[in-house]
Amino acid sequence: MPKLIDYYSNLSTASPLTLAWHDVLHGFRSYQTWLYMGWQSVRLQYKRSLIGPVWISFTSGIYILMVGYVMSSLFTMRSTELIPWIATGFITWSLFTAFLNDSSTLFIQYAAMIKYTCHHYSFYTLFLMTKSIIVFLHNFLMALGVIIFFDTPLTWHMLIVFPSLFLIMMALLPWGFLLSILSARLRDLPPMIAAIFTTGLFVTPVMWKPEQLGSEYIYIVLYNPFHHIIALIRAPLLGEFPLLLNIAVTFGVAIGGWVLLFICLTFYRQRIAFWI
Amino acid sequence: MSSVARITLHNVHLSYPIYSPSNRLLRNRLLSFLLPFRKHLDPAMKPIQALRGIDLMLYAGNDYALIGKNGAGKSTLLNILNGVYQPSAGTIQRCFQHCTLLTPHSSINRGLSGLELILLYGMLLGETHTTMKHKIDEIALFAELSDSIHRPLHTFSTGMITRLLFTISISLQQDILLIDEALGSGDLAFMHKAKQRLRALAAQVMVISTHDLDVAHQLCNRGIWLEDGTVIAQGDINEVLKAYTKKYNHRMPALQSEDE
Repeated sequence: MPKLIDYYSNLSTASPLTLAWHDVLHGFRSYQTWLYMGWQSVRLQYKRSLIGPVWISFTSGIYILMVGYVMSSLFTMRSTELIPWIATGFITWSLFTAFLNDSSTLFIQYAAMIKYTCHHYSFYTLFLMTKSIIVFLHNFLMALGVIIFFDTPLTWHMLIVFPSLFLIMMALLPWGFLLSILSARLRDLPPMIAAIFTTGLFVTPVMWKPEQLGSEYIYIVLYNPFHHIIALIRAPLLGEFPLLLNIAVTFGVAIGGWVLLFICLTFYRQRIAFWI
Repeated sequence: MSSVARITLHNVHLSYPIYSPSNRLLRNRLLSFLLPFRKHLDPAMKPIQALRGIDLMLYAGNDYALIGKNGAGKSTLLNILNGVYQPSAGTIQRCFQHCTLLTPHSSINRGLSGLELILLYGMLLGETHTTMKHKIDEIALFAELSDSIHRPLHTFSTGMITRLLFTISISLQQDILLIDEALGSGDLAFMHKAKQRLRALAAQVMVISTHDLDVAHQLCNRGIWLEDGTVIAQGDINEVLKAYTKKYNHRMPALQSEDE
């Protein structure tokens, strides 16, 4: 692989932008390793429980049913309408809150491995992404069960979930990476992120529907990027196409994230090792 | 011996930035921006000069011993060679593909079994899953862990984990092997075997940072003596050890082997 030799031999003469690019490229190239590490990590987490990773689906399922019944009686809505809505929203919300929350402690947690074994920072974000997707797929199967149980018809639209998931991960990847870098430097960032997501759950239509807000407060939904990201998974599961606006906002989040990430990597990549 | 230098360091300086706890908070950064008349951030601390003007050329086929007191810059130099730290000034030329830094510290998940560690660590060092699968028996045998390889790592002693990581590193095609005090935690019989294996790896550069002058003398043919971030002496191991032992009144390891 001539590129590897070029990379190493020109380490001190290469521009920071080239090094940033190589970091991301090498991360993607070692896909076999982060896929393996991601899978092992989920497996070990649930190794001692009787039902293994199925526990993920089980706990989410209980949560969704409990919240679903309470919310449908509070809002006087039919549970067959609200529970599939909550199930599809909750699994997507869990995907990106878990990914972004874990991202904020990622480099601190893997400091020794970064220093001594593998120094491509993108590798760790990709490993975390694998882990989040595996957990999401367990939740996805549960959500599928819930929506079938509550009489939502199965349609071909559901297959759109997979390109949607790809787009969402491409949008979240740079933001997770950015958070990992910034949290290594600013140690009060991880609790701040956790607090933002706790509040975010209530201002994002996960457990309620946008039409319940009324036209006066609809901007809470319209300007909320989380809502648009959730809609990419939720709409196909409920038998609809996602809106063009949802796709456009997610693309915007992705492009903004990658641009910011490359700026941050170019200026700060060399210093991350001193921060952890 | 190849005449091509695998690593060339020219006038390399490295200063560690030091961050005080209050400067590591976003809250204080925001406050100092919003309320500039109040003091929220500590004045910037002076960075530590860990390395000053290092000139080194490491050639293939040589084994280098890094000696010096605690805080002399040995581990920092290993981190520079490994590529995780970038020099603050000076240039570094690296001509190789695979490099491993072996230390007793590691953030590896202790729930993994020994077998899974072999697969994962090998893959982290750039090997494929299939290649590592074929090497499992050989590695377990050399590390003398054939019986316990299926057990989780939290049942292993520190010495056993070090032995396993060390064996994985030397079983792979590595151009540069950097060892930071790692041999210390293996038992004597294993150390002897590891030394034999290390001696056989002539095609690569090995750099061992150690306080054990016997290890340095037995394993390496070149010595680098660091003190306060500068190279005091480098060259033939006997010459460097002679100068080092003279200064600190240590026993010269060569004398011991002659006695034997």
